[in-house]
This record gives sequence, structure tokens and C-alpha cells, in this order.
Amino acid sequence: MSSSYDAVISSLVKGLLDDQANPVLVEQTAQQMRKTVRHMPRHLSLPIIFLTLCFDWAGILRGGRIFRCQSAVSQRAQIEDWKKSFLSPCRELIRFHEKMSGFIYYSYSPTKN
Amino acid sequence: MLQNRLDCEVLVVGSGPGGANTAYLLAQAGKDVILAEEGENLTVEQTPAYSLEEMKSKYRHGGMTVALGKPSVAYLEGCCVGGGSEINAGLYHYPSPEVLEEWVKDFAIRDFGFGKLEPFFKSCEQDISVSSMPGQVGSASLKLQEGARKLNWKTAQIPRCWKYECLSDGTWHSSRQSMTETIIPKALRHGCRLLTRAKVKRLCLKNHRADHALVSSVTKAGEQSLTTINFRQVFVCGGAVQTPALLRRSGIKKNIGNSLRMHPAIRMVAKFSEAVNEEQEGVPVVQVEEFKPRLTLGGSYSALPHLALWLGPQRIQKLLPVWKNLAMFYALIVGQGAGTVRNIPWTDEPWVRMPLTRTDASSFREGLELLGRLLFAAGATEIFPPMQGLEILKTPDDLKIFLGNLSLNKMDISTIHLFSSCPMGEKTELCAVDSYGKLHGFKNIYLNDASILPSAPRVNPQALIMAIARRNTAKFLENI
Ligand SMILES: Cc1cc2nc3c(=O)[nH]c(=O)nc-3n(C[C@H](O)[C@H](O)[C@H](O)COP(=O)(O)OP(=O)(O)OC[C@H]3O[C@@H](n4cnc5c(N)ncnc54)[C@H](O)[C@@H]3O)c2cc1C
Repeated sequence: MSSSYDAVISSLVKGLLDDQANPVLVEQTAQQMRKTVRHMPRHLSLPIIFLTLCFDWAGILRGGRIFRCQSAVSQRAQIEDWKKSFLSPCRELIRFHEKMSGFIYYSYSPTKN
Repeated sequence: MLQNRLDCEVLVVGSGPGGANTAYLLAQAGKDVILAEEGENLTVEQTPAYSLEEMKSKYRHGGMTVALGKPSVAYLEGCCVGGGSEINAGLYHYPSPEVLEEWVKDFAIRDFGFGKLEPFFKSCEQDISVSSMPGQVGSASLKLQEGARKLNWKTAQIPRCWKYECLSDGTWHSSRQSMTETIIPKALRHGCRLLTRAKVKRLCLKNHRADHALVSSVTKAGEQSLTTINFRQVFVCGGAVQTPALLRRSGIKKNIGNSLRMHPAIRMVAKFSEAVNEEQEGVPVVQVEEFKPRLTLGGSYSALPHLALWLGPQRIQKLLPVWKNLAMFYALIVGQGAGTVRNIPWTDEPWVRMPLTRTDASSFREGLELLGRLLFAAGATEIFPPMQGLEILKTPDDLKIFLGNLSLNKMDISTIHLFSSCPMGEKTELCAVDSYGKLHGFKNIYLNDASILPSAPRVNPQALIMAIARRNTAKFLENI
């Protein structure tokens, strides 16, 4: 479960950041994102991890493959679908990762000065 | 697991502004004090202010804490020696005398009021350098002043727990006057013993007294130990969430964790046609006074990662060439909802709930309207509302449309000011502790932190927390 989760986070963070984002920093961001979630109180981290895995599996319904095995274009489309979902937990999941990826990526990025 | 035993006269749990001042006065009076702190002992310089590094090492759960509700409110707490004072902006504010009088009436607090607290404010200010920024305030603060001037609103520059030194080249060096820089070294000089990475798991009770505390420690290498601390008196100063959590874990529940209050805030990012974002400005020190104490408008720390947090990575990428023209501002309200702190069974993690009320929703609406007007008056060309995916506001008319469609549930609300989970006063049906912080129904348990403020103080709370902590400790020493 842990390695599936790690892989989904890498793909999700990549999909959330801009195309031009530096790939090394993107992976660093994904690593830190995983640490951030694991450091959260358990009543928050467990639902987030569970929902992230659901997000991965939801790819099968949408495009015949789990999220992390999809092309970059379909990954972006799935992220957009969840962002606009009528279910608030789905929207919140993407919103949380979007905000944190931005914060972490630009904490590492040299452009900050 | 290692098992240890320690003895002291007074155990102080938590080393934030409440606990540090308590431990200092007790040690100064010759008491044998142990100050137990769950977090690490780090200096102010060890992590850049407001950075990811700081969040990882000085914030509880890396800053990922949420009060659940509709909408949920993200809250931040310090978890290191010095508590919140190590990560805060140090804005130093006296409460209004009217608020204190209201508390005296509503909670029946003896011997209380602005006049009674004034000597304790002054003594804090002697130990912590509180000063206004020398020279001109930063650009984001100037924008707040400019907008307010055009609208005929009053502003003020808020002093801070900060020390400014003029260097030989004429520039200023500023440093945060946190507890590790000021009060804790004084306490240690008077013989107080500081235990770090030491979490008080529970207080063990016997005959309406706390008999001893069970403390778990983890070394950096991951080695765990359990220490029993025997004491005569205990002061619990873990902050507004952790204090009720510890008491409830210990089986003390009456009026504990039922009335958590906060100052929730909502933010907007504004873009100007010139640069307004200066790294050295830190947190803007100007606030709009016009609507206080109901509503405070001010500026937030606006480094690039923080802008990316609020705007999202895609939007900030597009704005990168002009990010120095962006700054973040907030509207802070006095929350009317009363939240709860409970423990999740079989864990020592608190479960925090915070219902926002209809009044809160209309205060936020008003806050956003006033903030939007202020920013447009200050020359903002674009305003990014506190919800992603929304249209950018380019004119005051856009602001009206935005406010017309506002849905609080979808907004990002956060807070750094929490209090009142164990209110003080003689009304035993409402209050957890008496007028001096002693737990009702117990002989040797005292609370002395943000949790005992009877309700929201409507200003930045640290000055008041420190003054009340000093007042209560002085009374304790007098009685003993
Ligand atoms: C980012 C931020 C900015 C802020 N800006 C301002 C500002 O500009 N002006 C202002 O007036 N206020 C500000 N505040 C609020 C202010 O910092 C807090 O109100 C204040 O620190 C509360 O003091 P306290 O002593 O009650 O608790 P805390 O400061 O929260 O300290 C409690 C300490 O107890 C420890 N602890 C808790 N439980 C246990 C346990 N079981 N065992 C051992 N240790 C324990 C914690 O780790 C913590 O270090 C800010 C807060 C934050 C987070």
C-alpha cells in the first residue's frame, strides 16, 4: 500500500505543478509531500491516504488504467474532474495537494529570490 | 523502555508565553521548577522565519492541524521550546479595558481589569524588548496606509516583541524576542530545569490532587523513555488545544475543552502596478483600526512559497515575472462559534471541532468587502479571492458580484489565535478555573496559558497571555 501511495503522490504532484517545473524539484516536492501527510495527526492523514488511493483507482473507471499509469494528459484531465467534483472530499483532496505542492515547490525553488 | 523518576516542587507543562513566564517567576522566587516541553530546543536563528524548515521543526504536526467543521479551519500551533512565540510575528497589543470589564461581569473574575493587569504588562515589557519599527514601514504596510487614508479610515503601527539594532552601515538588524531569547534563559539562570522532547502524557490524580505526571520522551536517535515526575503543584500551560487535551486524558472534564474560541482569518492576494513585496518587511506591522475590535484588516507574510500556497502552483507560475507586485492581506474576525477539544480514543491526539456561525459568515462577508475596497483604494489592479478557480477581481463591481455569490463552505479559513477552552472565573457552571487559574475542584492544579482567557480578546493575544500568567503566578506565590 505504501509504495502505491508513494507512486500516486509523485504523479499527482507532477500533474499539479506546471509543465515547466524542474523535474528534480518536482520529485523533492513529492517526497516532502509524503512526509507532510505522514506527519499529520492520524485522523487527518489516514483519510487522506485512503482517498488518494481511491483517486488512483478511480482512473480505471475514467480511462481504463489507474491514475499513476495514465498519460500526462489524462492525468491532468482526471485532476480537473476531481477539482470540480460535486463531492467535497474529492475537491478538498486535490485542493490540499495543490496548495501544499505550490508551497513546497517554491520553498525549494531558487526563483524565490 | 527506560524508566526514570524526577522530583520537583512545581512542574510547569509547556514552555510557550504562558509556561515560560510562569516558570521564570516561580524559579525567581526560589521554587524548584521543572519545565517540561514536548518540542525541541531550537534557537530563533536555527530556521529561517516562516520557512518550510521552520514549519517542519517548530510547528505542531508540521503546521498541518485542522479544526473540523463546515468549513474546516486550519490552525497553527508552535511545538518547540518557546511555543508560539518562536514562530509568531510578535505583534504586541493591549486588550481594550471594555473587553476586560465584560469578562469580569460575564465570568465573575475577581481582582481583574486593565488597571490590575497594567503592572504585569510593564514587567513583561522590561524583560522582552517591545518596540516599533524604526524608520519607514515596508511597502505592503504603506499600501494599507494609503488605501485607508483614501477611505478616511484610521490605521496604526503595532509594536512588536522585536529588537532593532542600528548597524555601523546605517542599516537595521532586527531579531525576534521569543521566549528562548528572553524569558527562558532567565528562568534557567534561576535554576529552573528544562526537559525537552518531553511530552506529559497524563496527570495521575489522587484525592482531588494531581500526584505525579507521566512523561514520555524520545531522543533524536528514537530511544524512548518514560519518566515519572513527582511534584507538589503543577501548572499546565500547553496552549488552548493541548491543555484541555491533557486534562481530559487525565480524566478531568468539567468545563474543559467545551468553549474553544478563535480569531479566524480569510486572505486575499492583491496585485499592484509596482513592487510591494520586500523580503525584509516580514509581517506588515500596520493594521486598520477603524473596525476594531470587531474586525481587523492587515497584511500577511508574502514570500513566494506563501503566495503559491494561496494561489496554487499553476497561477503563481503565470505570475512569476511580477510576483514582487503581489502581497497578501487578511481580514480577521472575532469568531462567535464555540469549538470543542476531545481526545480520539486510544491515542493522545486531540479532535478539534469548530462550528462557524451565521454571524461569522456575515462578518467574513463584511471583512472581505472592506478588505477589497481597501485594496482597490490602495491601487490594486487585481485581487485574487480566497478560493481557487474563481475569477480575478479587477474592479469594485467584480468585488460586489463575488460577494453576492459567496459561499463560505468553499473558502480557505485559517487561524493562529486560539483560546478560551478552559475559561477562568468564579462562575462554576461556565468556568474551568478560578479567578487565578486554579482548577475548580482540585487542590494543586493550575492552568496558565491561552486556554484560560474567558473569550476571544479581539486583539493579538500574546501580551495578555503573558500578563495574566504573571498575575496568576504572583498570586500563587503570595498564597503559598
Ligand atoms: C504563526 C503564528 C503567528 C502568531 N502571531 C502572533 C502575533 O503576532 N501576536 C500575538 O500576540 N500572538 C500571535 N500568535 C499567537 C500566540 O503565539 C499564541 O497565542 C501564544 O503563543 C499562546 O501561548 P501559550 O503559552 O498559551 O501556548 P503555546 O505558545 O501554544 O505554547 C504551548 C507549549 O506547550 C507545549 N505542550 C503542549 N502540550 C504539552 C504536553 N502535554 N507536554 C509537554 N509540552 C506540551 C507545546 O509544545 C508548546 O510549546 C501567533 C501564533 C502563530 C501560530
